[in-house]
Amino acid sequence: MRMGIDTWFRPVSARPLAGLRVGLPLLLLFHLIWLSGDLLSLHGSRGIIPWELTDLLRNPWVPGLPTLAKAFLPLGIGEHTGIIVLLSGYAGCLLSLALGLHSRVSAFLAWGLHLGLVTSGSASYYGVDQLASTFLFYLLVFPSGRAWALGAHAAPSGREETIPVGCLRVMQVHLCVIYLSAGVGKALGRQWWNGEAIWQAVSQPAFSTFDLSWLARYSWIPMLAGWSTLAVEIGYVFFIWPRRTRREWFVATLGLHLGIGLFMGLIFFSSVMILLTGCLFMIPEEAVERAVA
Amino acid sequence: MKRLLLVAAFGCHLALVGAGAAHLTSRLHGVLGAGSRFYDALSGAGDSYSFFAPAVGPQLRTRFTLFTPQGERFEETLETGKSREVGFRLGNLAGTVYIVARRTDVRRAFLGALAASRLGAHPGANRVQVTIEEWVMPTMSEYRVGARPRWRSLHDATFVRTARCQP
Repeated sequence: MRMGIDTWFRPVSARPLAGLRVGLPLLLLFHLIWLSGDLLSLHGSRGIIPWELTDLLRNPWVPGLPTLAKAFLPLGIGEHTGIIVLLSGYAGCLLSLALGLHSRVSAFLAWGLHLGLVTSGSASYYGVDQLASTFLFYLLVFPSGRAWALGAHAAPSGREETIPVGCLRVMQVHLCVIYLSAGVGKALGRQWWNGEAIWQAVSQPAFSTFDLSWLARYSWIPMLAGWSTLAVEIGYVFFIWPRRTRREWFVATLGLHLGIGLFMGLIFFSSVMILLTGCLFMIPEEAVERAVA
Repeated sequence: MKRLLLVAAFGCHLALVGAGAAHLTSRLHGVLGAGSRFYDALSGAGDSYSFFAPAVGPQLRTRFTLFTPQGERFEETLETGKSREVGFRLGNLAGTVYIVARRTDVRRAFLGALAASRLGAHPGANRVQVTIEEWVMPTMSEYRVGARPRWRSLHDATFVRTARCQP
């Protein structure tokens, strides 16, 4: 029993978690800048959907940005200015987290504000926001600031900084569940077996980046793409763990997400997914001795 | 003892992750259901990951037809002039209005909010028709024999600017 428990606390390199701590906030920051021109129309007090209506869609126990912005009212800061202050604070926290300055505090604030943003923007929210929120939560609860951080102290023994392996495994298992669930869900529908899913996805105006109407004449291409998607997603849980197949499966996953980015324009979603596999499985977890002069 | 508690926490968290992915947490009711939904909202454990599964649904959009007192008429969508990422989010908003807001009064309120935002952007217009549309894409075999995609109206409502809200 004791040995079983101790296996969760075997020290492994802090770099995979640190890679996520640097990469995810930077991606979120780029995304925030990308959306900056429209953030107030999505989330502001004078946005497309009034706050009273977005409140109907959110979890009543989780505060959205409007609730937080209203907290500034006693200070004489209006709701509109309050939202701008919160969004600026969110950007600052993401940068601070990426740099590793007071990592836990930065992660808490970045996670809290991201949650507020997602909660109040639930009408316009999609899968990538949910994933970002989940992995910001992990950056908050796990010791993400032990490596590649401006505020980190060097390990005294000449060994690199470590984290308990359980932290890494929880995130890895979660990522495997995500792929398996997405893959099995797709496999239950006929569209992913006969190629119609790929055809429908690349033909929708929201996703279409190229004119791929010629695919209708070569239906074996979308069919093969559909099968490949199922193989990569369902096979992920089986082939990403063994060292012999890990690199190959990472390349396959990379191909899947580059394809999604290129042919469906979901660049932010693809970037986040590539980052997750890249950090959690491809950064070696073995702690190495530092060369001591 | 501390380690045992931490391992138990890891285990419970991962159990919720698995249950969410299997669409089980949404079936929980009462205190347990509320608790798991709250924890899900904070941590993401309990989410389901049905990205384009089991099938790719139709794209939804909001189209506005604006009319001026002089008889002019022009059309635009929420996505007009926006980046792809913003356009995608606004498309989701149209989906939310149509699918999530099942209550007629709530849907009407959402459509009214959308109409107000367009009338605000076009002070010269006095009437706006808001239409939620879905993209009807033929299958590959239908496309090969000549069928072509089109937008189909699912729901529409017309709003008129009253004297009280003239700019």
